[in-house]
Amino acid sequence: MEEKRWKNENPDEQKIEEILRKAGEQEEIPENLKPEQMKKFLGEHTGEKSQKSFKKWYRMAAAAASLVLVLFAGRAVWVIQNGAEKQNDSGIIKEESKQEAEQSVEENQKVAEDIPSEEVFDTSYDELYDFFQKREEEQQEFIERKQWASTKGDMENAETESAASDSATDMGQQNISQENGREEYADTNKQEEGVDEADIIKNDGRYLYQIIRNADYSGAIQIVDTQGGLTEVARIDGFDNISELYVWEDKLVLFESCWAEEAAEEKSENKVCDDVAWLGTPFQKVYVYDIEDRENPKVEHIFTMKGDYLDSRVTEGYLYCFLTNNVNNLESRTEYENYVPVLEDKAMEASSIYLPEEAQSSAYVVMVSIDLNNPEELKDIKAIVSSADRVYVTGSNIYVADSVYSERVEKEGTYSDKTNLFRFSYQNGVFRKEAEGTVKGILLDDMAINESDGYLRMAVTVHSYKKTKIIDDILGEVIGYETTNTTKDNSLYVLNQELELVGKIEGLAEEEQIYSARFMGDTGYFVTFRQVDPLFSVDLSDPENPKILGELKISGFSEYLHFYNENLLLGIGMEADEETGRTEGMKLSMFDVSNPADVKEQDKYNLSEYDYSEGLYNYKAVMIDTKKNLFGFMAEGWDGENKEDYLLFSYEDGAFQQKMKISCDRDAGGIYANVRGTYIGDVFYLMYEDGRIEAYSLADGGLLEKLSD
Amino acid sequence: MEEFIKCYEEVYPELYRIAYYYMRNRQEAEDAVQDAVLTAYEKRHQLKDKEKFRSWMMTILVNRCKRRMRKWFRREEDIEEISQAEEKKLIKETDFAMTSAVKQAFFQLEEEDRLIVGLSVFGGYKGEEIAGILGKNHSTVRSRYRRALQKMKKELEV
Repeated sequence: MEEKRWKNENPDEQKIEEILRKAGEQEEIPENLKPEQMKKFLGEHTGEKSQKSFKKWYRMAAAAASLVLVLFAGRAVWVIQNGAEKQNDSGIIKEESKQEAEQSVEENQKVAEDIPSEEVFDTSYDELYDFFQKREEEQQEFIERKQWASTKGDMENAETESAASDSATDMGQQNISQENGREEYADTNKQEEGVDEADIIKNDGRYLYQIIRNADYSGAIQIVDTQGGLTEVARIDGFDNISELYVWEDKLVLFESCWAEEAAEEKSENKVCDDVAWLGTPFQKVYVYDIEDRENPKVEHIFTMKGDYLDSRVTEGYLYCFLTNNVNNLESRTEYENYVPVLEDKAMEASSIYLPEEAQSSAYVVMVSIDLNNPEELKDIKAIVSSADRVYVTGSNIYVADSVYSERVEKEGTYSDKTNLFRFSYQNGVFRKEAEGTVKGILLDDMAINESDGYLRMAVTVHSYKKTKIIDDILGEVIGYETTNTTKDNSLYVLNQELELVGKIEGLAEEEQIYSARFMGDTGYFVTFRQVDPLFSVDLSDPENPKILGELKISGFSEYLHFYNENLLLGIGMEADEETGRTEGMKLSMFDVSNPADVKEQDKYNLSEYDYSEGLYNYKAVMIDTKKNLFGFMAEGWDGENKEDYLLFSYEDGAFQQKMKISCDRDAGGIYANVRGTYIGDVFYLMYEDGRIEAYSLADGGLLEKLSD
Repeated sequence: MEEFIKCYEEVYPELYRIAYYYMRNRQEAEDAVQDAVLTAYEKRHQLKDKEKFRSWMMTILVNRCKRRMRKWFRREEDIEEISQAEEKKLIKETDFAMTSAVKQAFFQLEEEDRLIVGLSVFGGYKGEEIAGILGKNHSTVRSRYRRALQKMKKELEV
């Protein structure tokens, strides 16, 4: 059980988890919930209620979405229309026949002759249906076997440490933008220069945007003008669960995670809705606003897509959105929307879906593009039958990574976790599948994968295990399989554009885990940790022969690495006792990497009074602008009272300088607010999730003004 | 029915624990579990991949609980602490004080955090599964989890 969850390194917290778990176990389960009672209860309460299909649900959700749209923009039901060819008064689209759908694809292609044509796979609905059906049967067999054998022995290795720490690695470019004579300002900290990532705050050099949370847990978007004093110019209210946002030129994009249930409730509280009260189908709404007039954001389109949000990017005016979708309804071969992804109330074309030969999941990863200059319809839609969980996007490629934690094999042998990779190229919103491949091991985090000069480099942790037969002592029959010889080490791979392995270093830091990784050009750095932190530097100049250049052993470990300039690598992490490995608060390290073969810790700065920062695990929580020589994050600690400070640093003459320390009052606005920081020119802005913003002078640290919620 | 109950049998303790620790009220938790199980039973044909029963069931429960939380007023006096029976049982444990302190600290967490920590600690769910159940992104869930534990730790150090 422990191994299944993310690993917690902190002994105190482990203890808390343990005590809590015990407290839970001591909780008496009410008699009514015991299986026998439940059986009775179900027998009494299940009647002849008609079963509602997802479709009906989805339409309700879509209808609710269109109501929202009417309120916002006075525009009718277009929200649930995919093309302009159909409209009806009820807001419900009749099921389109396959022919009609094909026609519309043709029309789309005709219109778009000047751009690369959309890729067509030779997948058919029948093939998809047959695949999912076969898998369902396999699953069933597997479960039956497992149930039979589970009383006798451990059947399967627990899935391990899915949540490797979220630290980071970008190319070391500055997150700085200077345009139209505007002042310099901090942009979202991201993986790749020029490929924007969504976040909970945005800064465009004049306006600040943030997702705020109200005391009743509803969400809103706040737009604040920083010119001539802080003024809130707009607030868009009434969201349930906004996750992230983008600002691109005069467009604002919001993602909202929804459940069909809740959307239907919005519509009305009446009985009809109530008796179809649950479906549990997640879907995403993507709102595109025109914010040319920042005071009056106008909804241009609300896209509705079935599935869970995975990730997204914005490049050159196109929004790329990645969703995951599970297949669990195979009632009818002809009801495509039950087993292919549904976008804008329309089942995907089978020919837009790639079914890999070795597909292993009843799930899709869906890639969608939207032209932000013309957000009327989806530009391109592609899907892969895969349970991919990570995407990495460069200026021209999309890498989709599917972590496969354990093989469902009941055979003797040695197995490893692996990652299936797909490469799609993209241009002007059009996707094209280029290559696929597989490597052993699981990626640490978003920064552990990087493309340079046509080569893909990956730092992975490899778990391997052996399966052996369990033989019944008396009968001599095989009664199951058990997992033994679990090992863990780390590898670095170099792959070409065909996703073929061309170079590798394997077997690094046995029984340790990578904590952070970062690549820049021909050099890569990564950190592993047991008691001391070896910072490995790797020479990648010859893709076929990556070589370890050096290993610097220092106390503690870095969770987040960032190239400060070509000679300096910043590490934000924890100090630890060299004997016991026990953490002793946060620390900053600056590594001199001018000679990658002989890396030195040029300076370190102890922050022992702090023991946690979101920035350790979420690179977007780190504000960093190396050109401005400024970085900051919120750190938390305890010294008799709760310490929650936003810390700002620069690096001058070979030493860290603490520029500012602002005590954060996170409880003041009715919620326990997240805090982020950003700057424009010489003013630093501290942004609270409850809508408060404070402005400080970067020159003297003085509070300039406050915007209260 | 038999098959459904068999699946239920494996998960019901964690369903109740997670619901209770989230809602902080035993009766509400019991009702939420009944509600959710009834819904799941009616929708059971939708779950073809039986291996996903656990997370599917949990997703239904979480939705039910959230709905109830919204309708059910959140008065402080409805938040149960430790019952007498429980106290008796716990008092035998040497670390009773610690257990109740941890529980109190947990109850003071934000709504969403109680779910995240509950799913992880009582259900043993992985970060990705929790993210899936809650419709949140993985790193958000992870950092919220970390933050929640830090908060509890601070609470306990007073």
